[in-house]
Amino acid sequence: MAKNYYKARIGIICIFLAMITMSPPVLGFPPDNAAVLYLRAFILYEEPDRDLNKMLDDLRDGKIKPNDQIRQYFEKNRPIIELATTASQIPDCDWGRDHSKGLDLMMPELATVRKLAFMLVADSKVSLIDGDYKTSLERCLTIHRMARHIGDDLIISNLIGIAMNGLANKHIKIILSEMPADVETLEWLKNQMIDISAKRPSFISAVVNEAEISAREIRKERIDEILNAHSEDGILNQIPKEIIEKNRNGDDEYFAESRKYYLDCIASVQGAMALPYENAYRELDKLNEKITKEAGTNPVAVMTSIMLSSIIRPCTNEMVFKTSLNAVVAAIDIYLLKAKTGQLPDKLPVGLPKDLFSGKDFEYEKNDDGFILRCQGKDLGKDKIHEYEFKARK
Amino acid sequence: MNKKNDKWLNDLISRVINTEKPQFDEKKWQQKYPDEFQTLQSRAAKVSTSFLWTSILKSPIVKFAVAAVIILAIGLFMILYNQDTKNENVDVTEFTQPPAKMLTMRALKIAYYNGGIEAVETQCDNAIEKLGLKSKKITVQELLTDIDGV
Repeated sequence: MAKNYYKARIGIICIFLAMITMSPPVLGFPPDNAAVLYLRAFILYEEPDRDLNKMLDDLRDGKIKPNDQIRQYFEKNRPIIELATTASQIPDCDWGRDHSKGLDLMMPELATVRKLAFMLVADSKVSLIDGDYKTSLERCLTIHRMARHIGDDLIISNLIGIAMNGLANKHIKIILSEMPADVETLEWLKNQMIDISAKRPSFISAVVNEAEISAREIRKERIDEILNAHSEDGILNQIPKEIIEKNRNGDDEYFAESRKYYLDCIASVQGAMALPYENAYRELDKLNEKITKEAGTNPVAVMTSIMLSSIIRPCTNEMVFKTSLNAVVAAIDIYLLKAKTGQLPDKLPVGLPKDLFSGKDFEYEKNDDGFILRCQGKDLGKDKIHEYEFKARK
Repeated sequence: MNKKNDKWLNDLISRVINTEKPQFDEKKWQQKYPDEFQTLQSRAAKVSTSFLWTSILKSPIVKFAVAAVIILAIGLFMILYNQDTKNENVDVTEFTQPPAKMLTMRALKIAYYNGGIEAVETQCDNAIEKLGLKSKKITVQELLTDIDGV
């Protein structure tokens, strides 16, 4: 009797445990998808009025210090900043972008995430002025992580991500120049930056994703829309009218050929991007010239000429960003040495992240205000050598 | 009685009682009084235009019509002037492209082609300005009204 009683109890407990494990985690927070929290933040976000907006711009530019109105604004928007911070730490972010819409795919989140990024920069400034350096840096790291979430898909979103990364780096540089030597915070920042660098969305993946969308657009039903959309820019002006007309009147076989031409060029882009910067740039430049030239005589090349126009520019943007990220990580190491030894090193320490334009170490120059990290290779798109100036508190 | 009989009777009565209007024969009168005819003709030429205008302008219908035309002209001028001023100040693309369309892959790619990443950022800013993120606060009273369905 007692045996049966125990058996029944064990059975009930087992059923209960099975129910718990099988039921969905209804109360789970944060959710698996960061986009849910970003969207909640967008809903709660209240746009500041014109005067306050101007004040926030001035605060970001370092022209004014936070006043009562600015502080009240951030106090009111604290839940939004918390939501964005939590969202940025979630590994996955699915914005529900409908790739089947082709080039009509809507990306309103690009604009709203940027708004949040500007808010975070302004809040970072408030923390910096208050002497809360770690919170100030945390806001910038949140922007870096948001950039990963926004840019993990297509070339255009990748570029917006790069712009946000640039914004975050710019303010991290300012914080580093003003904060006192604090080994613990610098070590923490270094690890965070290495993590961000490692999880940076792949530009090649963005090119491939976009190629899939663009290839589907190369068809009879879409041709007029595409040509009309580009009627006023420079690409079509260089192509004879009869060649453009052949595209408008092409049959299915013609468009299949046009798609093949495009995908072959995408394969060449992928191949070029695996090369070191200088070689990659020259290969892409050659490819661009070839497509432009052929589009003038071969109708099949016209759509590729439109779809792949200025592919070199995003590749260069990517390189500029990655190199600036490396410069910031290298600079943190230099600040760390200063924090440990009390002075800036005379030479660049070994094993630091490199200048990706040359594939070599940055050139290091110490000056009265701090130090400069200079690239050894030239940005061929802008015909310029990038350098990054870091100030150090004395 | 028929119409034919009527005419005959009318003519007869007319002749008997002589009620017909006296007929003025211009040619005979011109031959009989040549000097008076000349004087009258020269006076008529001087007076006729001003007399005509005075008569027209005195008419209330004409006064209303003139006033209406003036008001209409002023109205049209104001409308056209305002349109011109608006067109000068506002970018045409703002009317042609709805904000959501400004954030499609195609629109952003074209912006990037024309002005690089800065142009994409500007496009995002312009779209967000038009979309407006300002959230509307709902009072409890409004919420209750909505629930009541009133």
